[in-house]
Amino acid sequence: MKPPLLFWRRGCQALIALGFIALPLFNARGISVIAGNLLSFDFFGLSVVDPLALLQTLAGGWPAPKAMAGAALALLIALLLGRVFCGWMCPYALASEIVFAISAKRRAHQKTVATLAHETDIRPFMVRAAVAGLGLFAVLLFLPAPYLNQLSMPGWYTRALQHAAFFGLPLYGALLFPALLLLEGFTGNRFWCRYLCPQSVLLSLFAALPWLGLRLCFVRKQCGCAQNDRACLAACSLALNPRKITLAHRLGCTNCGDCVDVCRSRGRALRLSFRPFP
Amino acid sequence: MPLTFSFLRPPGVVSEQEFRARCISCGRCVAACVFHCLAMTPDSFFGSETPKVFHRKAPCYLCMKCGPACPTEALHKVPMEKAGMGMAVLDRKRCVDYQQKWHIMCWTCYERCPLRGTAMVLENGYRPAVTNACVGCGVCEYVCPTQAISVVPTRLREQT
Repeated sequence: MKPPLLFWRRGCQALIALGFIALPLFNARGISVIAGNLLSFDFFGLSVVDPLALLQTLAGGWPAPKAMAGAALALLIALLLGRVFCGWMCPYALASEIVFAISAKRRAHQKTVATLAHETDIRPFMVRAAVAGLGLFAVLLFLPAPYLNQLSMPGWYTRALQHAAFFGLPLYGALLFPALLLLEGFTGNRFWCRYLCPQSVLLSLFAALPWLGLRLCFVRKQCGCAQNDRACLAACSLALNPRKITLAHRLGCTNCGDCVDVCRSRGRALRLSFRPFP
Repeated sequence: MPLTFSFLRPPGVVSEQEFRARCISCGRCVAACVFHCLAMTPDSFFGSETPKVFHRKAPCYLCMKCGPACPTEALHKVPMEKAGMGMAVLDRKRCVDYQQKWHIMCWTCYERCPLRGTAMVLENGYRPAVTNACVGCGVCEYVCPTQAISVVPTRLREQT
């Protein structure tokens, strides 16, 4: 039997999270074939840049042609593979999912499913877009620096490790990372990833384009579950409804495959596919 | 007393305003720095960390590896003669080469200057003097045994 997607995903997330612990240690010793953090890093000469970070420098009136290709690459990955950065790579998402799993265990299962009020709602995305939009507008008008980077949780994670490796000092701003996790532990919903993360907005927009790249597909006739059997809904930590693939779903889905794993034993109605289902 | 108690920006910064708007705190310049003279420290309480040269601890030797590493061109790729980090100021009352009573030819700043002969020259053939070609790398301030040299960062000269 093939291992579930979660197995590969956790492996990928752990590799990235551990890789960014080791990377600054190598960089500090002069080995820098891969260098940087998750705001921008150099991968064997290929420069990858956070698209929102670049957009802020552009909004400030400073064109950076060198970074364009790096940001375009990140957006191209979102276009072809969906929001795999959020689902498969982001260290904050890994920590947030673990916190969610622990907090979900504390609560009754029914209650967790009952919180899925916004399953076809576009509001979570609109809030995220508003945070990013206001930040960009502020940079355009008065902010002297790209302050939205301060809201990048993968950025803080990698920056803090970088700082510790190079200078042996803690980076106090990175305390935002555990503080948010603690808060998410109490609220039991992944509110940062769903409602606030501004870095995911551009990726969401590119990942939401239908019929292009890797997307979640639902074939209703293969679904053997009863109407009130909400196993796939309960599996989604982002409170999306995989049975209704609307714009709201496409904007929120990270292609994590948790619902696909649940559906494997229930008719395989849900799949991640490059081609739309017939 | 040194003239300034501050840090320098890495080489290739055009203006402080542009630098702060462009820098995304990726730290790739720090990883590229051969001499480990760049430090990432926060600009303000909520500000992101930006690279700085604390030249009294570790001056910049103008290897110019940081400019090409910067993805957003906060650090421009420039030759070392156009690093534009600051300007050294020599206090002749402190410099042993200017004090005839000691009969010493120190020349440490001259010998160690990465732009020796253009930024740091020997006046009358034996007294060090800073010219307008100085880019303010801070090596002379770091090596001076009598603290006769201070570097005024370009960043501060912009504000005045």
